Amino acid sequence: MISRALSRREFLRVCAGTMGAMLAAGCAPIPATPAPEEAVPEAPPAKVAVTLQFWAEGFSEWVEGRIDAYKELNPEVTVEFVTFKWGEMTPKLLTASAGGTPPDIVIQDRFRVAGWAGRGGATPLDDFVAQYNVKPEDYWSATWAEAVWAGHVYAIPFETDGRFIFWNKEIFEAEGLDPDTPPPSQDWEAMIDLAIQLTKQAADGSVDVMGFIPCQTLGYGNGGDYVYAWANGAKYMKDERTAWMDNPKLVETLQWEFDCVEAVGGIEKASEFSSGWPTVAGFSPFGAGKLAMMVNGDWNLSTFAKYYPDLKFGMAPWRMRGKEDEYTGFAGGFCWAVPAGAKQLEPTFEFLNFLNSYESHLDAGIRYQVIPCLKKAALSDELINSSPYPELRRMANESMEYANFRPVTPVAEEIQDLWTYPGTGRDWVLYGKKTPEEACKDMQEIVQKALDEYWASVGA
Amino acid sequence: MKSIAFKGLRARNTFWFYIFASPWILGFLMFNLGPMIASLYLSLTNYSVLMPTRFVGLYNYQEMLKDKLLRISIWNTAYYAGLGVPLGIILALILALLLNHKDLRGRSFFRSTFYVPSIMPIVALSILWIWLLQPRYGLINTFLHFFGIKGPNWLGDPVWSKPGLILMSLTGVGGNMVIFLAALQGVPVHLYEAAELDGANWWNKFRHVTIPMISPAIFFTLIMGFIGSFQVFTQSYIMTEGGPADSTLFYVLYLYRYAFDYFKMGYASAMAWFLFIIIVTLTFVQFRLGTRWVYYGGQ
Repeated sequence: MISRALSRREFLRVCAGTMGAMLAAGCAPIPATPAPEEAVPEAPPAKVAVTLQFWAEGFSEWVEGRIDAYKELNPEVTVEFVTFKWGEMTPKLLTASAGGTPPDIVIQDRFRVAGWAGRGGATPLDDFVAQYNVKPEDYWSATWAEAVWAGHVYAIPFETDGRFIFWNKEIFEAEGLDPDTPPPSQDWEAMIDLAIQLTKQAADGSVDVMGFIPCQTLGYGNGGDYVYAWANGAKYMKDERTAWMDNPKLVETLQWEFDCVEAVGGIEKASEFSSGWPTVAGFSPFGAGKLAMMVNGDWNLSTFAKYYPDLKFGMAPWRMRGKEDEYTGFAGGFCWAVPAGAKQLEPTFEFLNFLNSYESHLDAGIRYQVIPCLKKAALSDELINSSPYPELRRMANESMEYANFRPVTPVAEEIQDLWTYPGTGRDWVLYGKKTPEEACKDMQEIVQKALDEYWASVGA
Repeated sequence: MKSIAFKGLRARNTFWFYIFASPWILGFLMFNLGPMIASLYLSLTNYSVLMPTRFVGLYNYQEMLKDKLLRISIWNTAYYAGLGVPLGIILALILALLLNHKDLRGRSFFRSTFYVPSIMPIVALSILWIWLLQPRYGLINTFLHFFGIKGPNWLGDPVWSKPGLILMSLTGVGGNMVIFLAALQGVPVHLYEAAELDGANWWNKFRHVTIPMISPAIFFTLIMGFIGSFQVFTQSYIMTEGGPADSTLFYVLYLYRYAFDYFKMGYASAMAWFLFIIIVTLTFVQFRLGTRWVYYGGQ
């Protein structure tokens, strides 16, 4: 057998050839679908088959039901649904957009819309709004406000959720408090006193029953950090180019959150108490009677009904500071959006219009016990009465009328991370690393820099 | 003639080297090299993925110098790697030595038991460890309680959060343990016999025979351990979100936020290249130091 050693040059040539062949194979056009047989002359022209890509984090059952219903009406349209775990869609959407292969439609966290739209990552839906006669006034104003950037509509609000003060009536009763009177959320000092009164120590010195921890995640809180700021009249932005994280009202708010945590034993006790409760349904310290008060979302109504059916609790909107009869709230939630670069706008708009119907909104609202962004669906008796707590559901849904919304800005993510999320920003204060003034000053620096860079990058 | 034969052998060896290495070479050329070169260029731009890209020179690198959170993330990562890697190696070596005893009953069972956690998905492991490290009811603190020790609030205290994650990283020592077991079985028995004849006790045999003979395996695990630890991400992403108070804000978590949350892929690329330089430098230093203590048989 004759063998010959391959020289380095020859080897590299072989490698390059192999790579080239593989790349060429990868780039080769996909063979065209065989043309359908010609229709007989009498039959109406066949509709062109369309495949749409639909991405979402969650809502699987509802989306799949809607897709099936749409398929029955439009057999030529196939909607491929891809669902992601919470927080995992954004990186994939970003890379798909970069690769020029974004999905046709997504369910997106609404406060992120400005970030995507401001960077050219979303398709304006003005044509859709005009074509299908979508009226902004049909939606909760807070939810519609988040869907608009620079005068254009970039999303259609889908569902929303409010934040409220919850209190455990049995704990209140045991303390000699009126269980039917909501906590005095308008009086921040009184809230601290109440938190102290309701906090009970265990024999080993740890917290047995926690009165109240106002912060996100800690003490099972969710979204309160924004609510207190709005209740105190604070804003996060002076205008679209100027951050206002060092707003004295925000400093006051952060100081109050710190004081409240200190009053119930400091961050050490608060975090020790909180880390014992995973943030999944069925493991609520509030439901288990170990947390007297919390600020959390209306989705807890269905959770309590399922896991803590005997729980006696109250739920009320948070009051504006110093005002007995003025409330504030937080409209979070999701929307439908069409990423930039999506090519099949016509069938996508048709499908979006189907999703945006009254029946669709109602179906999602009932199925997930969330608040539809379409007011008519949110206020329908069918939805209200589907709740295990119809009166509280009605109050929650109606509260969207005056609910507030997160700042609509391309740097909303930075603001949220710093202001509400555990880990950074607000943790500087809670863990005693910085005073509220110092923390807000540093947050201002970070957010303003991000804003400046954004505006510089869009050449304005 | 002799010279020609030598050339032929060398060329043949080279050929087979490239053939065997070709899956990696092709994969690297097709999927890694391009993105690496691209990211080097992107680190000099304001690339946001979605918007037109503008060249900004060294702006991103200059901004990194001013970034206070970046400095914290470097410290956190160095702490995690500096403490976690040596601890992991020592524990893996101890386990390997124990499980290398021929007269240990159920050796295979113990080897499998210690190895299995190292192949568990890191996400599942992270969720499990949230429970293990729970301050009041967690298994770790319950165990400490038996000895009258009040365990810390591992993931809720900035002082204990990194040690908590390091403790968790020790779950993965099974991989290194297997490497050490293989290395230990390669140590010639006659070396121990000769040492015994010279009156060496177990420590002397360990110090002067075992360690030098398995030093290439220790060196390998050290290099790989540091490279892996500097890229730690999932644990803090899932368990602590970088907190409390930035105490588990690791470098790659911070980089990820810039890349995918804040649309600053240019800055993230600059961070990635800085991390690459750190890892390359550390590896280079380790290789240089390795010549002093790593023993390759026959050299």
